[in-house]
Amino acid sequence: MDRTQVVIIGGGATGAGILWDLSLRGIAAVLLEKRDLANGATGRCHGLLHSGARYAVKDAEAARECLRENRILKTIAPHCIHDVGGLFVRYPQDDPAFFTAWDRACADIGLPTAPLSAAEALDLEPNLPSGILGASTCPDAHVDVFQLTLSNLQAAVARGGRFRAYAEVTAIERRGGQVTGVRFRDTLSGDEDSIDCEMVVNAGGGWAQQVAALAGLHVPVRCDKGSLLVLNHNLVTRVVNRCRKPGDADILVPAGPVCILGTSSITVSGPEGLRAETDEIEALLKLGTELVPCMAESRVLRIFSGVRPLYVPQGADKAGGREISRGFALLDHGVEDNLDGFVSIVGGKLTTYRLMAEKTCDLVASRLGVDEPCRTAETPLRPPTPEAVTRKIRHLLPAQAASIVERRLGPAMAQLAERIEADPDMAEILCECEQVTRAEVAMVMAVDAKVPVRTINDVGRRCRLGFGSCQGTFCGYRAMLEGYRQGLWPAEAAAADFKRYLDERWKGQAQIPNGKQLEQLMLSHDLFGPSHHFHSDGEG
Amino acid sequence: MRHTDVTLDNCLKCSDCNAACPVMTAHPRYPGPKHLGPELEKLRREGLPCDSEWLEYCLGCERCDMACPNQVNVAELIARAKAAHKKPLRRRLRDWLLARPGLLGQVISLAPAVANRVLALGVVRRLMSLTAGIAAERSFPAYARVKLAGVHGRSRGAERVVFFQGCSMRYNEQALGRDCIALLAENGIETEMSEAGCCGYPALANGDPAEARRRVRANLELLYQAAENGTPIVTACTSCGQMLKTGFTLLLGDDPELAAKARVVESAVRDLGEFLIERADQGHLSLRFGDCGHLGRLAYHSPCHQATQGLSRPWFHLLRMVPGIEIEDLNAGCCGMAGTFGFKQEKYPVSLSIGQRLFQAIAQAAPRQVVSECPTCRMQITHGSGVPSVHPATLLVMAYEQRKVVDGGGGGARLAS
Repeated sequence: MDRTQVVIIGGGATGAGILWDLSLRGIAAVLLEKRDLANGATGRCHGLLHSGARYAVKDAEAARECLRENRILKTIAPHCIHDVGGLFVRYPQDDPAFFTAWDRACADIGLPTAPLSAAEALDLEPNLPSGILGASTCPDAHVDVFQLTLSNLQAAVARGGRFRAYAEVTAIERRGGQVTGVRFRDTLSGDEDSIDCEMVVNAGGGWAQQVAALAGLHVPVRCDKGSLLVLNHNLVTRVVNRCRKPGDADILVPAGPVCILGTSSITVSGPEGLRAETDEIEALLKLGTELVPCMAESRVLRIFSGVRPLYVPQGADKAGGREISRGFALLDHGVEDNLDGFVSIVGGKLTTYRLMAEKTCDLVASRLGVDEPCRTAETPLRPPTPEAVTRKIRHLLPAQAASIVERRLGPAMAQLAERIEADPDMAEILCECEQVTRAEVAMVMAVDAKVPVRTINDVGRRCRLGFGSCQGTFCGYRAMLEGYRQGLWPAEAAAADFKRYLDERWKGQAQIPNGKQLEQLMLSHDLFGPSHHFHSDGEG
Repeated sequence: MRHTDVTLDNCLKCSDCNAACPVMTAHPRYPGPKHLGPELEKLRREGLPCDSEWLEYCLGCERCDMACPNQVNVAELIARAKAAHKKPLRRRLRDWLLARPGLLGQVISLAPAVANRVLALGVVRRLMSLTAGIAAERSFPAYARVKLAGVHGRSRGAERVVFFQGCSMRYNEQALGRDCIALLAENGIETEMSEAGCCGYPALANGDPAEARRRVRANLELLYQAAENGTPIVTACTSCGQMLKTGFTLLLGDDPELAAKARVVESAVRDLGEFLIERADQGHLSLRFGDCGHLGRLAYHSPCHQATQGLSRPWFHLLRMVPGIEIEDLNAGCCGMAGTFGFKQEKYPVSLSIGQRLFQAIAQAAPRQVVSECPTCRMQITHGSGVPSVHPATLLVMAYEQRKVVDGGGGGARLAS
């Protein structure tokens, strides 16, 4: 029987942030995730690191919170952030009263902005429509959500924290009014196991309600679906926000080699089985074309949907005391529901994940009688990279690949260099769009990796393999072969996983209204369909 | 939306371009057109450092463009990247010069006899290889002082073409120029030798688009009037032809006024072989060829830039109209010379290795001469296979003359088809 102090349920940014925070405080913790890291809301958002400008008019407190966290994350996790800056663009069809309200609200909370004339804005972003009235800058940025979650996990594991993917909690054990442990099932192997613990933290995001139900409790979470479009290349180089009351499809985020438009907002019954509807996609594209006209002819790579897990307490009076912040709530079920050792953290947004973790861990630490303050706001997620290691990689890899891997691996590039020096074939690029080398894939697949992988999709979440325009058609296959070479999976399991991988990638492309990605999809079908007996019964 | 944006979105990563690339087969480490073109362009827009020395190894043959099933302008994307590529000083200076064959020709042809003798000296070639990075194994074409200009083959009521000579003909191959004039005259066409200088292709290939732009800008003015009047602009060099058919739009297309002029000129341009075969198809080509059995076995090599023009070996088919000619189409890919590429010392081994397939095909065909319309292909063929090479126009003129020998003069009359 395994033992720990705290079990965290949910491997999104918040859960990973909690594991890191607890590990820094010297509290033993295990994070259980039913699939792989960032599978829920974290991995299905814009990847926008808010500056707060978005919320300034409606909710000054939420905006201040974002601005503080924006600054902290840029200091502690610069390798996860493309500090591209943002623009709030004034479109002639939008309400001018909002422009002045926005200026005033940003000034009030000390958010640094600078006005740009229409000509200046067009000079910076030539794909904006020529009729814009002007724009303002703000410190928005793009954050690589997978990298951020992974970095938190890696940092935590280095300090003794533990992460288990594909571990679905099936029961929360209690004795009287006290949580005593959890039982879980490995969703790939079916094996069952359990852990004894003193506390359980529910960081289930969209699944928080289901997790609480395992303890017989009710946590009111409303799932609000947001669908997003990934465009094949950078139509803008800064985050482009439409300066108006927040609405659908008014943010375009340049995310590495692609850019992401979103979102819609539709209440759904739960976090699973999400699908972007045809009307929804059409509406997004239409609004996106208002934002950046050339989007009409641009290639859409992929469509995905996620849920915002919104905390909706019944009765405002009850909510008042429980809301730690406007954006998120920390529920101490010992106080609320007479179940000691069970805590839920719900609501919130990616930008404030660290703050949510801090508040949660403050509570957990006090319940455990640990007198250690939170140090995540000052502690970098990753140690600096020695200059010699950077130089070596620049010598071993082409400029762009070196530059990408410097951000992604940092000091771990030393191992990358070792692998390439031992075998120069390891410098081969397996994923062309994201310039991922065979050596990096091998590192990700290593049995001693801090955050191990079990599927090809997991590999993508560690190093972005398969995220580009071919959507895994070529690199997914190469990764499967590399996994076989490394002994990660035997031949049959490899083929089965590749089939699952392709199926998921195909699903993401199947609804695309624009021709080019359909051609890409057909190429993938033609390459693998016959050999994998997909659609062999005439379905497709 | 910018043209290059559309082109980027079209790439499906299918690798058809890589499969068509001659360098990829010759050089296992060459990353290929897919990477150097659309892939790097996308990463460049992400703000990543994307320079690569491999860009210098692109031949500019444009076979990638032809191969792409999705209309990605791979070659154009590579050419843009090449223009931004940083080279060490020595290669920069050499490539500056190679980008300007017109300038080189003008200078050398001031004292061609001396220059030819000096350039042929082994010690000079070794010196050039050491200092300027020019492959010592290569011999330079001979330069001449005489230049072809003015109108030739005047006759009453004759049709006229404007002839674009290109640097090779202007400075090294005036005899070929005279053959082309004779060929046209035989068909009742007078030839106006254009004053237009270098087509700009060598500048583009050497990563100097500013120089290329200057060349096409000047040429546009010199050629526009004739094109506007409906006079065909004819060239016997396939690389010049490719540039004259696409380069004006490529380099000047951003300016709407120049773009309009560019379209007029580009649509007036014909490869000489294309021009003649069109006439043959219309029954307007003189077929007064004498028997050329004495030429022995011939083998034809089609230059990359002939295929990129969408031409299907017009010269090969023209030569097959000549009685007694025995000619085989080698169909063995790129020769590897790629204009100035093969002259570069560090590229020389790759250049020869690309040509191996062609050299082997020549060895198998065992022709007395290899026929090809591209001057640098011919240099490479003779250098790599040891077999002499000739422009097809020269053979066609011989065929007409052979008839005159038999007839004892006369000629020029059209033969009804």
